[in-house]
Amino acid sequence: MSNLIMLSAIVVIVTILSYFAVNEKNRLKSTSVVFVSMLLVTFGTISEELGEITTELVQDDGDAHYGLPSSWNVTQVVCFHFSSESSPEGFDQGRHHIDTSGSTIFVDDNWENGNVTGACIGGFEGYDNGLDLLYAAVNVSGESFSLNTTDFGPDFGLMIDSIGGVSPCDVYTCTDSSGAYWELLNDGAYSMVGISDLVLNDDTVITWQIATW
Amino acid sequence: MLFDAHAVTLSPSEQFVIDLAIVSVAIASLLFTDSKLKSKNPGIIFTIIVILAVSGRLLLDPIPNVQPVTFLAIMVGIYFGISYSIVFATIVTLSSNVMLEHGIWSNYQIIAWASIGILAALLRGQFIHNNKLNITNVAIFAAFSGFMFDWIVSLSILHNVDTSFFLIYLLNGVPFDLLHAGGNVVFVAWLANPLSELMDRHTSLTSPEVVPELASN
Repeated sequence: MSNLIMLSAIVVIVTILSYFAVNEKNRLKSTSVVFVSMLLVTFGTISEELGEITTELVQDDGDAHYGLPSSWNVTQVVCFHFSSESSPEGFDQGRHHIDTSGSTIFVDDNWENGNVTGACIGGFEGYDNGLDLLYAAVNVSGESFSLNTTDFGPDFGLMIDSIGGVSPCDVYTCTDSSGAYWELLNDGAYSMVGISDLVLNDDTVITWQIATW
Repeated sequence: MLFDAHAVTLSPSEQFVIDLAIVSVAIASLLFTDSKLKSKNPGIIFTIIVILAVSGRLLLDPIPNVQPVTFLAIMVGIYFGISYSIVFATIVTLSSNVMLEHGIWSNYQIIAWASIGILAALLRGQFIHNNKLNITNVAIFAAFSGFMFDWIVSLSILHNVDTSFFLIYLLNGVPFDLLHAGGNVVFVAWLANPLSELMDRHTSLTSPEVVPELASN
């Protein structure tokens, strides 16, 4: 909240200064340009701060949408979870909540007591297949959660090798007898099918996290 | 040896600078075109303004909520009236949304821009004084229109979201509203005067009419 007030004050003060800095004839031109420029520079931070103040999160830990914005309740969501030591650039702290336009609406710094970071991209509608939803979420996030996959054909489907440049064996030591992989959760439960065969509901939450075997 | 220009990629900043340059050239061309027209041509000017609105909206898409359509809707309302405002809003929305995506929100955008144009037409007397545009009043109305447009279009989310979220949705949209309002004022400050002179020359709004008068004995 204090950041929001400070940023707003900076925008207002600089705008007022620009008003008095020029002659009367050019005041509207310069003031409006300065105001819009200042707002553009601070836009991302102001939006995030406002999002943190106004966003209500689902509190029921039995709900698949637990910890997600209430406004995503009847929409489809894709979450990527990382450990704080191994995460894509810019996502080493908190769980970011990103809407379908790519805007970060809220960062939950208290998610899993800070041990788990990452992002949830939500607000999607109308997707029937898990893979289509996954690709949509990756597209929204730009290059942040780009996928490397191995296709094992129609019998075994797609395996996720890395998300956002993070491979499971970078995080855990993989040997012949133990290893790690990207685990797929469907509404909080281990998925019995791969992402290519996953049938979605209107409010499905897909989660990717690294698990060991 | 052939080179594929499509292989060149631009950063968002570089693309934005180019888009801004294109919009500036389009606006300058409009203002210079006026000198080539020998007589009143409201239809041509209206068409050019529609094209400017569509191209400006597309090219300035990288800047959130800053586009010239609202400002131009106000000018169309003032100088062309109510019916032209509705036509303007419809054509610009449908044309630009071919690229930007159609949806239920398109209807709300048409309603919003048409409403702004209609309001501008109805309040014309506040914006024109002594055959000149009152920039201060237009700027205030333009700022108000930014919020009005966004709130009308925001109503479209009620098709998918409960009304209890509407106030939070509006609150989260305040930075976008401020950008829209600020952007409108920028367009008014820089373009309203030259554009109003051009539109004044080609419409009948402020031009005196010559009427026949019987000579008295």
